[in-house]
Amino acid sequence: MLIFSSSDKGGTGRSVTSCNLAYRLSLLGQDVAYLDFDFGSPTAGAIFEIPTLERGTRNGGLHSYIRGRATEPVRADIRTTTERQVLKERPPGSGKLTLFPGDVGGAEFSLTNEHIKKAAELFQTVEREFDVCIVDLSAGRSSALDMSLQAISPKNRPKKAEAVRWLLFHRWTTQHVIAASGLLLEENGILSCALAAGFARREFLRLVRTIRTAVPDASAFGKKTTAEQDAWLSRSDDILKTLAKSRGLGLDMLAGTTPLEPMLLWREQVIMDVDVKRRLADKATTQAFEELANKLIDDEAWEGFER
Amino acid sequence: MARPVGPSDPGGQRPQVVLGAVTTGLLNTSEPLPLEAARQALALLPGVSPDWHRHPIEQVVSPDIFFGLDCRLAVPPGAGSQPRVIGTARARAVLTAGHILQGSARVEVLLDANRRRLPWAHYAARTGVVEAINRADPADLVTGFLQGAVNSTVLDLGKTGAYVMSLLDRVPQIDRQPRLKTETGRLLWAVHVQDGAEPDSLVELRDDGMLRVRIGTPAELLPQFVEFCEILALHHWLLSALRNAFERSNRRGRRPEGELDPALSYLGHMWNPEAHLPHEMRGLWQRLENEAQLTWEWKSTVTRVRDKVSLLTRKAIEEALHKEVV
Ligand SMILES: Nc1ncnc2c1ncn2[C@@H]1O[C@H](COP(=O)(O)OP(=O)(O)OP(=O)(O)O)[C@@H](O)[C@H]1O
Ligand SMILES: [Mg+2]
Repeated sequence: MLIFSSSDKGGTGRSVTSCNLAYRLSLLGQDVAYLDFDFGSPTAGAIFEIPTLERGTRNGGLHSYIRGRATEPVRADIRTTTERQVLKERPPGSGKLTLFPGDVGGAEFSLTNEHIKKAAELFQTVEREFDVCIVDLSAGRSSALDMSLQAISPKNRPKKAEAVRWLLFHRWTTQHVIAASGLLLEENGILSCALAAGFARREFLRLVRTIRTAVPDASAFGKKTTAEQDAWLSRSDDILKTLAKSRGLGLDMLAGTTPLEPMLLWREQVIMDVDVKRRLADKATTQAFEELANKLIDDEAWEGFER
Repeated sequence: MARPVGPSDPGGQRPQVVLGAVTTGLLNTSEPLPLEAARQALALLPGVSPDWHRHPIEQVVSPDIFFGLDCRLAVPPGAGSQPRVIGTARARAVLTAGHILQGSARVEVLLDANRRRLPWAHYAARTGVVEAINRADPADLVTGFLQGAVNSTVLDLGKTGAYVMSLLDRVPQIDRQPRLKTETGRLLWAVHVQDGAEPDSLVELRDDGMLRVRIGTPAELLPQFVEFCEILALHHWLLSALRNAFERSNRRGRRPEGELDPALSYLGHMWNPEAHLPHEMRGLWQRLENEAQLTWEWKSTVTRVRDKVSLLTRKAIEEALHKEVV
């Protein structure tokens, strides 16, 4: 299965959430590959706490590979290369967790058919080895995003190939909802790019689901909230829900929500169950990641009701 | 019985170094290709039919195809500049039991050839040979090549092997739905040609999962040595693929049969390293067996897989009976 992670704005939590999903999927027994396609700022190495890959690799990462400068993309077994002791352990029954890093100093490039071919080949090779392959794209429209859409379009991807999911991450605020909807649906957005790549509208939108990230609850106001604050929050939430629905990002599109996690405000990292046990992280956070991971690999849960 | 190789250098010069790579993987399809279809699929050159045999294990070998090269050869750090070579690489596809596909590529390197680039016709007449324009030490070329190609300016025969494998993706019978997750196996080999020497090899497996074989051998034994490497690559891949399937069968939330059944039906019958092993290479293989115990490891892994399958079957039967009683 191929999973693409996209977002309109930077800093939505796309990479951190995707890394956490990769980790959770591996705990569920899946062999997981994480492909860092955020060529401008590949951060996955830092999130998995791999010192040598903090800002990508210098030995031929995905950017070099796509551009034909490396014959095979470098890969790293996350559990053996991470600096984080508890992440090194591979629990029984869990799967492989492999990072294909980007390059230090990679950048935008103008897309050619050669790049698209490379990407399609890369996806095919990785899918033959791994159950799930998560592709982290940079914020907004990028060559990597166009390239990915072309590579998975019905023109290039055989009908019987494994499932594709397209995730759209956004924060739960007025501007982020508007921006995410714009990126997906407006002129020159993801959908129009998908149509140009050969998808039918319905067919592509079936693949897309949103993830609302770092959603706060009333406790963000402080330990004790006033009745006015509670009422205001509930009203604001309703207004946002109406906005999301009217912009085509309603509940039928929603894959899940991650709560605001204080630990992630300080450090981009994988939140493990031990963090909850040590009473550092909220249980709600790991639960949200686990639920999402479960949903991603369960076709029925994923499809929900037919749109 | 060594398969025939094409004509070498007509000028009579002998290569000092020969470099090669074998990539191995599952054919991208749910069921093995029947022999007839395999013979059609591996006819990579119009008008030349592939070699094949049915016994003891079905195998089809494509005719050699050639790729033009103008690149550098890697040398170890500190060994000076990378020599530029021009000529052609020779490659072929090997399909075993209709399901395991290999791309095998090699070049013979002439070191005391012309010091400037000649018209292409000169190189085109010497198939499978590259000529080095700059001076180089054979030992450095062997070591440099076995490091593996890190960038696209140096010779990368693994890529050629992978390309030859990808040619088979176009075959209509290929449904792209293999029932096993597998990793591509990679092997690099390098020969320092030494006339009159007994073949003596060193096989090495590093953390990157790549097998590396270094050998000193007389030129006459090259074709046999290529086959030795193909057989080693095939069996090393078989072992890795079976172990991977067994490991995956212990995963959370997974039906173990979903991994074990295809593993047994795809791979279970395939182990037979001596089937096509040229007799000149038997000594080398025996030494490898003594050190690495590949066949023992294979047998014990198959036993574990079979034991697990029969345990699962017994459980299923007991459960069914139990239901009937209740
Ligand atoms: N659930 C959460 N709660 C609190 N903070 C979060 C949450 N998820 C992510 N963050 C934080 O938000 C910030 C941005 O996250 P991240 O780097 O993943 O964003 P991104 O969308 O990948 O950005 P970019 O486009 O720049 O790559 C990080 O500091 C991260 O720790
Ligand atoms: Mg990011």
